[in-house]
Amino acid sequence: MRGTGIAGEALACSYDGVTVLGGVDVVIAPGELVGLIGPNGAGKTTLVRVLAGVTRPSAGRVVLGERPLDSWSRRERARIIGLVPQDPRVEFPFTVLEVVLMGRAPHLTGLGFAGPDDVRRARGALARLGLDGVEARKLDTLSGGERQRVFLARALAQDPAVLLLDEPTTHLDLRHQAEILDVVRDGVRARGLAALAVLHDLNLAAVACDRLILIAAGHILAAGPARDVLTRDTIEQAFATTVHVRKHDLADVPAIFPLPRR
Amino acid sequence: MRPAYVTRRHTIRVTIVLAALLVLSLVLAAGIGPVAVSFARAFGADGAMTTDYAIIVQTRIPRVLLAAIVGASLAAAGAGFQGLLANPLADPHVLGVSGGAAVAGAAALVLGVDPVSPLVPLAAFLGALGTVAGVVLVARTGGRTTPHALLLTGVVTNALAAALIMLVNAIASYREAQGVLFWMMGALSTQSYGLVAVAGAYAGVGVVALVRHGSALNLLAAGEESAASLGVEIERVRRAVFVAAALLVGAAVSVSGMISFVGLIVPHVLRLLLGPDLRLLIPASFVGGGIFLVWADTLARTVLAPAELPVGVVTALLGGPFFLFLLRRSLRGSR
Repeated sequence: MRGTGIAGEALACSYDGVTVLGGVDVVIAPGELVGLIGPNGAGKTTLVRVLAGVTRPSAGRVVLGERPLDSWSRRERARIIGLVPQDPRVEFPFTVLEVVLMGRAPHLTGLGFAGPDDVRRARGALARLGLDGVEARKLDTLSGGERQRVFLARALAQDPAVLLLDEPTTHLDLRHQAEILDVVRDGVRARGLAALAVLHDLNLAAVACDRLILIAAGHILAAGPARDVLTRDTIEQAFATTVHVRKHDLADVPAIFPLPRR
Repeated sequence: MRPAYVTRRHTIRVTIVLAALLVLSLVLAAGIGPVAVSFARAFGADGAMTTDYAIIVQTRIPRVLLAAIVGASLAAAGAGFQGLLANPLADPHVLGVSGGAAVAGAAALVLGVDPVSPLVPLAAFLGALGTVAGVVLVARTGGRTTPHALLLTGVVTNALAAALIMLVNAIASYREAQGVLFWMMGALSTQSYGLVAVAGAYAGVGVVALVRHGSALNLLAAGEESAASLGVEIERVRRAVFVAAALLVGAAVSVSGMISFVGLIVPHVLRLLLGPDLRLLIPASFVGGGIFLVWADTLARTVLAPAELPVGVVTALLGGPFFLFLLRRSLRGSR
């Protein structure tokens, strides 16, 4: 299923009469990492959940490959779309390896016991994220940053063609933020993953992503290369604050500095 | 004892070891009681004529088998509920499901159903199924249940069940009232092999259905969003687990009334030893619950001999403090 993209057509969503998404079109093609940015409450998480098929849109549709998402079974979808949810928790004391092996579930039949190949893939995913030493530890003994990487490892072990990440770098320090995005970019380049990542750090999004989508109040405000999306006007409009924007010294992207009133 | 992940081989091995312990427990417990008996005499030449044979075969064996089936059913149902609700405090009794099953069983009795007919487990199953659907509907939000919501719903359901059983008791004849009281107490008594077989069949079907959903229940531990994204058809799994757990609770309650805390203690201790993977924990709880209740009942039969304690008293005395300890930990964790 490599080389499968995902698209949303006029996606709308509302909870209790409040519109969270007001008709959004997105396309994520194989081989690109798209950054989804915007203020809190803009509808980023809802858009990710709708694309993942976890939340039903109230209007519009999601197309996976060449077929509507609804026409795929849950299991078929889970073999193609990997989701790293925001702030995931696991209720019982599972080990790290057990959690990562859960990513193999859509590929397994019967009682779903993992075989040697599944364990190899899970260990490979852990190694790519620098977690090879902790596989036998219980998940709840890990730091927040390690836990977040475990869930990316779970999504990688799932071997998806589409990878959706909801704030994958939020709890991470600088080095691990860069590492996570490097791993995702490797997947995008080497395996043709179609990836969408919700990111809060605009500068990180600018350097790491091929394209950005800026949403605010459930609508797309700007989409395209970082230099077109991250202008002073769009940022100030979306985030309702003042910023200083200049050119990045090392890359052809803008660099943004918030200007709090003193 | 606990590997970094659970394989099929490990699951089979652990289950066989536990099953061997269960068989050993059954044999030992059948030899223990207010009257000393000898297996050698009972099963020796002309053994069938001895009182030893009569006591062992007609009284003790059906009793220990029944204890094993009840314990196994309650513990496996507890493990299933804990997985489905992603909450380690869930248990057939705490949730009020045993109460719902007992109400339906008692009602069937008063409506004139023969106490030893297979209709009693059926009524208890339907009572359990109705209660589990109601409780979960009220207590669950976003795929999880907070300890508060779960306990409050269970407390109210249990109070309601107790009141309904009292009501049934009040309109029952004197003879039926004795039978109804038995549902309240949680007691094992010697039953016919036929009834043991019926309860065993319910329990067997229930546990097989539950084990089949072990993998999906594991994925639900990380929340519904995660589980759905890994291919779990949540509504289908939920319905199947409801029915399976209700079969188990119906089997247990129909022959023993409300025995508390078995579904809490057994999965919890086994989770500490074996890890939380439900593909292993459900069969292990099934067999381990059998072992636990066989010995709890042996204690109940002998500690005040020749008088007998209801086994529910033993499990409640063990389980009550244990539950409070778990609750304390869970409340600290959820803050």
